[in-house]
Amino acid sequence: MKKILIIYFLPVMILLTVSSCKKSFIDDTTNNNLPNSVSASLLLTGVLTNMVDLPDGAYSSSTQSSMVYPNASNKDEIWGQYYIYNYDYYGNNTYDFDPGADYYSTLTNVLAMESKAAASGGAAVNPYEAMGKFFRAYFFSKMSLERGDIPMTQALQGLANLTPAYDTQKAVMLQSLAWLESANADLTQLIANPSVGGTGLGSTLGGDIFYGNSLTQWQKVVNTFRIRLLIELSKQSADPDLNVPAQFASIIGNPTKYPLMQSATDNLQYTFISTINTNYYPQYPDIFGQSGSRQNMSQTYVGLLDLLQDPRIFAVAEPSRYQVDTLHQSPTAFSSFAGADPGLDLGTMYSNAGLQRYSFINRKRYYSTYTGEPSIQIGYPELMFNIAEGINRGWASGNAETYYIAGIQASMASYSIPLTGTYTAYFYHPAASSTTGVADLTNYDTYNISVNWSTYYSQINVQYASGAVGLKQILQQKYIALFRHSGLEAYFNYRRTGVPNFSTGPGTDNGQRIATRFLYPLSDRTGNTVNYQKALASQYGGNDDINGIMWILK
Amino acid sequence: MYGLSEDRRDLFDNNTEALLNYDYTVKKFLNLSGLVGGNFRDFSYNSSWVSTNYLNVPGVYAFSNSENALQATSFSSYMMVASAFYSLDASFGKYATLSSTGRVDKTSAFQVPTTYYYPSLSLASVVSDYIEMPKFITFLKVRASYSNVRADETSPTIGPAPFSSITAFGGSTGPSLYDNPLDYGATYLSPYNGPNYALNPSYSTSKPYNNQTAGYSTTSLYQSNIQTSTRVNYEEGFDAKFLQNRLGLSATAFQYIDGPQILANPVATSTGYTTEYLNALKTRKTGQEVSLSGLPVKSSDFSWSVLVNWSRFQQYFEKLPAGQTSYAYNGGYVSVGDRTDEFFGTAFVRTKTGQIINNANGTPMVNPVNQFLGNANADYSWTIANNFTYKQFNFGFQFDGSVGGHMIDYMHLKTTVGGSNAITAEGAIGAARYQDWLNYGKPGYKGTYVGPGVVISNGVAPNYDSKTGQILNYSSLQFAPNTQTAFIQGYVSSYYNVDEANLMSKTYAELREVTFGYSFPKKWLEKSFISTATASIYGRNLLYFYADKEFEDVDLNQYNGTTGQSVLQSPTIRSYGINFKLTF
Repeated sequence: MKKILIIYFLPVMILLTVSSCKKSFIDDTTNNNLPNSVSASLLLTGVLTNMVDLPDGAYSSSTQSSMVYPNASNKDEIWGQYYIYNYDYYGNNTYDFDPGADYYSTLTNVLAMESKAAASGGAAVNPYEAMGKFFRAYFFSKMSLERGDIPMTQALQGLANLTPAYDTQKAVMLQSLAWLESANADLTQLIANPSVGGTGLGSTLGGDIFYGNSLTQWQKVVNTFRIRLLIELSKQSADPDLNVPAQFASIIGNPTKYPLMQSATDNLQYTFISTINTNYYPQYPDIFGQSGSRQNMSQTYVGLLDLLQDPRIFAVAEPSRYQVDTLHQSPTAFSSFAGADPGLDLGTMYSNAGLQRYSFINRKRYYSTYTGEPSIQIGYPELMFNIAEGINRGWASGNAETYYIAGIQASMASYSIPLTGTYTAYFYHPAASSTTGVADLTNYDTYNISVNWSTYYSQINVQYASGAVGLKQILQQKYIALFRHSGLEAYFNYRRTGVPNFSTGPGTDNGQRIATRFLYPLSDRTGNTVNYQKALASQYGGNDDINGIMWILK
Repeated sequence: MYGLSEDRRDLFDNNTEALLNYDYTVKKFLNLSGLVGGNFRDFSYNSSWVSTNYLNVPGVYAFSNSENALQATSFSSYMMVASAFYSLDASFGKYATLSSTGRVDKTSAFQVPTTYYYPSLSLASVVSDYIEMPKFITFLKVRASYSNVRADETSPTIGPAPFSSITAFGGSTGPSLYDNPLDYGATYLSPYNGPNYALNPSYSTSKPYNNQTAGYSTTSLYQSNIQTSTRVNYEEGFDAKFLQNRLGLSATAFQYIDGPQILANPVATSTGYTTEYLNALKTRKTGQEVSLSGLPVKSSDFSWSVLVNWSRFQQYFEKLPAGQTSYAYNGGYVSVGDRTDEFFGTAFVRTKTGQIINNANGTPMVNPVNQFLGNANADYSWTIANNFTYKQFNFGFQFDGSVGGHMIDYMHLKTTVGGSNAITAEGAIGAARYQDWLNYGKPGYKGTYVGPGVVISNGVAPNYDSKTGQILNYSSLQFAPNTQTAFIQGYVSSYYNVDEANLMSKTYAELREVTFGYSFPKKWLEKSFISTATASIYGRNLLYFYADKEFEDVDLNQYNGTTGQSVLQSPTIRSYGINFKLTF
């Protein structure tokens, strides 16, 4: 028997730094690179940047990353039939609705903002809490407008409830309107006596990128948005619980209690910044070469401007070069402007676009600068049309025409079109020898076009008539005013009223139908299966169908 | 346009280790050897990334010369791991050998400091050493092993700006070790092996508007008391040699059970969060491999040897997260028992007889629900290698390939839709393209190409089941052959935009290598200091066999395994060479 036992003691190298002596395992689990808490004002900035819907006809350039504009759906303008694709490689005009915008994570930030405000001196009524009510109303109602019933009362509880039940669309709308009422009341208190808000950081608004922390301005937004939401419910205006006409009348009838936007300077709008490349307008000179001809104007929009002999056509579009150069029509004749039918087969549209048969977007306004135009989220012109519509529908007494005219004039003013006078139009028409780009104004033909409000307004299609004709006129003008603004509003209005006529065909797909709703988030199918199935069964025959009809459209 | 960036990374990793070796024999039968030891790892990492995109004075590379505000981010991480481990090799005379290892780690790189143990065990026995075998069996060995693999939350590599909040250059931000603060290029990854902080909730910040900082709360939920992920491997096999080693056969079977993993599981967004980290999801991978080697001819001048190898594996979902009957995966949904290499994508809408249903404009309808397109894994792969030796010459060649499996050829999709693939200018498509060119701009011309399939002739719109994509109102649809002409580029770009049109088989074979060599005769070298000398020429990747001409440009060597879609690839390199080999 042989026994071998070899023991090697390897040299033990001890290298203990001072820090490692003091450290413990538990200290090292924490990530010191990120904050464990941020202030309410930083969260507010985050919520506001998540809230915006921007035009992005330029599709996604690298600087318009999803991080910067998380909820910008790249097809809002397509589904509004304003500005459409002509080549399948880059996009198409189909109504292939996806799950739409998902604001639940943003609402988690709203909750965090409220609790940080309360923890940092905010009283029971404080600016963040009032803003929080507005955000809840805005985000929940928007998600419901897109999908129908959605989780609300059981939502936002994290691990405490991983399978929130759905609330009916009616419940979401009732609650949203109640939040807006309450937000208005809180803001009234805070404006009258800021000390109500408490003391410290949580008592004063900070981080506002739109109004410089002015609660007075936000109160106007709250009420203006409430008018929008009431209008969205027009098909259920007879519902006794919602009581849409009475709510509408009480707001219109009491401007002291419910201040509304007074002019375009009150617009809730996103202003682009020429010095920060992540805040450029989605279309700007550097990308004109790659994206400038992927899309052209839609006939739904251009045809309407044409029908109304509307001078805004010279600001937003350019004449078809085919009409001007080949058929020798005047570039400022309305008939020289032509949009493409969104229902058109893309192969045909591509061929026609190559032949310059269509109007392209106005390059001076939308491509020659880095700032384009501010993107209106909730605006004064829309408010005017919404009030006119409510009055037209008999919800309140008043003169619908006054609001109708104010809306049109505010929209024209946003394009710098004078009521009476001369408007200078710029159409991109570089000489063959030109080596400069879309930013160089010498590459544009300029035309002085005389505009006259009374001539415009005296047209039969424009001059306000009461009743159904008047309603259609209001909705048409609202559609025109919403070009490149307010996300899906134009689509929602079409869905609710059928105005203006949207076109269908092979290009829009979905069996020649305009889809009526967005899908539920894909995660509901696997993560909240039972409630998801219940919601589908109670609303859409068990199928998550983009052509299903939600309660507010019944 | 002068810019300046500084990417600074400091890593300090200190391991203090104690080892004890042993080797012990009992009665000439049992031998035990191995080691026991302990290790303490103390890790720290610091990095910073500073950049400016413009300098005031050209050529002065100093941050003080920056025209715009400097953009900077920094990162630091610390980790401690205390470990104890052993290894044991035991041999039981001629009957068996057994080896075993085990390690216990206490790590800080987790949700909370976590201690975990992972063992391995393997056993082998040469049966022919102690059991009388039939004469033709020269050698027989059986083997089996078991191991368990666990790991903490660390990452092998790290990028320049972890958890970056820089938005000025349009790059990525967020809770990732790999954030690229620039909107172009790839980042340089360096070795790291430190904590990734994936299980710790925190707020994040960025500057989305006007350089103003915005804060965001986490979008993740964390199950409390998460355990390390686990993988258990079993392997069994034998090696046998027959007829005095002229024929060899070895076979292995394995089972890998992965899970419960640390799963970033999507939760209903209405919870206010997008992801829950929890211990869930179990998959099982089973595989077999057989290799056969033979020496069919062996004489003094000439010999021929063959090696044949065959292997396959499949992986299945064994357990989904609790409460879930389906799991979103690879563009579709899977259930327990489904393969993990299933992939889903856009597909045509077809009649019950399989014909494509077209829109009124003559282009195919696309199903709004992703359809199952195939399995990415091969059914099996194989290799055959032959080697011949005649006197001083030798000649060898090897074929290999795999059978089964599909993938979406993304390059085919992009080149056809973009009009640069040859098939968009050939055959019927090419003829239609010529007509489109001849008739360009003619009023009323609507193309020439008529795609295959049918159209719906009674104007009824199909309604799709949102789960399966089946047409719910199929019985009310009437079909007629498609006669609608279309512009070819429009047709091609909509047809080939559908994943199904770019689906390719992954069955291929290749002549991998041919070698031809010569060994210089020994007697030539007798008087020199060189003991052997050989020269050979070889060619690699010489022939590629693929059944479908449309997809033969794809080098399937680059898409072995579970890849369901091609990417931008480098071409296969066919190489030739000459080898001289001298030994002294």
